[in-house]
Amino acid sequence: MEGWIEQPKTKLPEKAKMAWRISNIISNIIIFAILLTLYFVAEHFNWWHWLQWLLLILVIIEIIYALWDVTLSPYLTQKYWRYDIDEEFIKIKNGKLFKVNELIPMTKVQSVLLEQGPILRRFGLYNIEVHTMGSMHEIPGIPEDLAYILRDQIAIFAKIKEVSE
Amino acid sequence: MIETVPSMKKITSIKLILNYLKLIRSLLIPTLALIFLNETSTNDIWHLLWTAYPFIVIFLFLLVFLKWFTYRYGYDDRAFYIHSGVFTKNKQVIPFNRVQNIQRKRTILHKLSRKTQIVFSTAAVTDEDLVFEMLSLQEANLLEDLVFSKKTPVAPLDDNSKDTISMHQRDQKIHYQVTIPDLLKASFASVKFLTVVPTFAVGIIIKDKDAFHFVKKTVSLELILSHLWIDAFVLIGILLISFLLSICYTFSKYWNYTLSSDDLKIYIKRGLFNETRLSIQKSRVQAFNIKQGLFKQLLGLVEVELVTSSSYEDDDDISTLYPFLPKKIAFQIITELLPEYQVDLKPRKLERRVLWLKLCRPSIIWIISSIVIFIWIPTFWWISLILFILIETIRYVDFQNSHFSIHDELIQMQSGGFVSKMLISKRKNIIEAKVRTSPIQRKFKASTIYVSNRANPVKVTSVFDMPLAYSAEFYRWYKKRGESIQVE
Repeated sequence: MEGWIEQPKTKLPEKAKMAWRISNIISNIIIFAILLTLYFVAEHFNWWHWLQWLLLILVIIEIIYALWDVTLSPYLTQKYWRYDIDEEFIKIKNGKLFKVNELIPMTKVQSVLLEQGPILRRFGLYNIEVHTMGSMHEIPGIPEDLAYILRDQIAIFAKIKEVSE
Repeated sequence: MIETVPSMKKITSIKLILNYLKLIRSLLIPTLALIFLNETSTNDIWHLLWTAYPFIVIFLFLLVFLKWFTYRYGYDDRAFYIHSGVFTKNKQVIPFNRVQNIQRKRTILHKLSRKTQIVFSTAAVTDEDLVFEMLSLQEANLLEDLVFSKKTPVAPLDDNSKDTISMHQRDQKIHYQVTIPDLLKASFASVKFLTVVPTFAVGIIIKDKDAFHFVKKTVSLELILSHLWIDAFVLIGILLISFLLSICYTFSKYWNYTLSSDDLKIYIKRGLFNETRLSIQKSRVQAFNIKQGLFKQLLGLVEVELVTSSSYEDDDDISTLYPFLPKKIAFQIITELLPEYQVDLKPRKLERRVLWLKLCRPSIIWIISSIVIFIWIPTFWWISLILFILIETIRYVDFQNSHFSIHDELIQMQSGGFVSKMLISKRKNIIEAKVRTSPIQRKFKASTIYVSNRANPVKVTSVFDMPLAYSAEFYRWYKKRGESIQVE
């Protein structure tokens, strides 16, 4: 899409990568553990044969997925994510394989909130969630001070309402 | 704010009777079950249930009465007020400016008692629609005037605004009125050929197998002929019956269909036994959605839908304009209703190279079903072939149907194979825009665009495999949205 559509410019911080990596490692370990437990339980209690096979396949898929999720995915997400916020639009461009360019008019924003899990807290990062009438858009991994500024900015811009029908 | 609540009214006692009938209907099965099961079981729990049941019934009857008795409604020049609740009291205020459209429905019962059901449909998810099951015609008219007069941009004095309302009604212009030939055509178009023909084809195949065995034993030409005769007879019979059914259905639903408008509102009226009427403010129309099934594509008929953010959806698709309009007339009507909307008759088609992208894209449905067929029923390999041809044909039709056009404030986009869908919307009514590319699309310099309109739920329209140049144009166009909106 580059060259065709004017891209937003602001990148996500480098350290977001590490935060996603760690949270992805944890979530993948949990999924892996659950699948593995299920597999051994199935083997031990002689559940249906096909179920054992299915679980084995799932375990293999999970291993491949975890490799992608921990190494390449955070790197590519950070590399390609761009956003811009001005008084008229929230512009978002993201995607690794499928690339998406979005325009969200400020006047259609209904609420904005900051979200932070335990891992993001370690890194001092926030996700900004913007809710509109029909959808939710997330700008992930924003440093704390910037996150607060952006939240307030969006809130002020979003206050302006169109003369509605 | 101190509420100055106007005089509150009770709803008509006919509604109470109706509620009782409903209750009795819903109690019928449990009661019968209890009576029959009681004979067979001597369990203690059953016994308990048996003795408790009359009390439950009495309680329910009382509850229905109390619900009706405590329900009060009122209105002033700004809002509706609803008080309800038996144990917990509920007070609800619905300002008139939340009302998206007004729907009326009159069954035979309503007609006999000179009453009407009237629904004031609101947009927000949190608000509830205001449904009056039984309201006198007089009061319904009064309320409708009240709600819509409040929303006229200039509302000086009360008396004046009432005058303008009645004047508007005098100015009503009829855009389309259905005639009996139209209805017949519509019945023909709505016959479900696609369901009739395959069922019959299967029937013939099964029958023919019998016939073959028969023929092998007694080779007689007369017999074969008589079989064919019967088959033809059955086919014509089935077609005739389905045609008759569809005539009954179409006539009762679209009888006296009238589409009219004045300078503020659009009115749709239709129905033989159940009369329905919709009035909607023109400014509330977010977009037009024009649909064509495969059969309608061949006949050149279209179904025009008004996209609004009303949440009330009865089983009647009331916000569709007459679904069997000839294309040309439909486009004309759209411009007549809202002059800002004009259908571009020569929109841009997709480029040729995109056709290859569409045709070559691996179809997951085809791959999976082919695998299934080749593993389990390899003798039916030809199904896979037919499926492949079908999918490619639909893709080709989709390519032919896809188009895109932007002029000034309007966007017009169409896509779809089996059902072609076209959207015409103004820039200011689009609440979100998105351009997406997949790796394959990027190779072909193509992309997918998504347009969101305010509706309930939000309506997203997309066109697949748009050339990137068009998508970029669309993106830039939407970015200049600021030009077309006014802010408070």
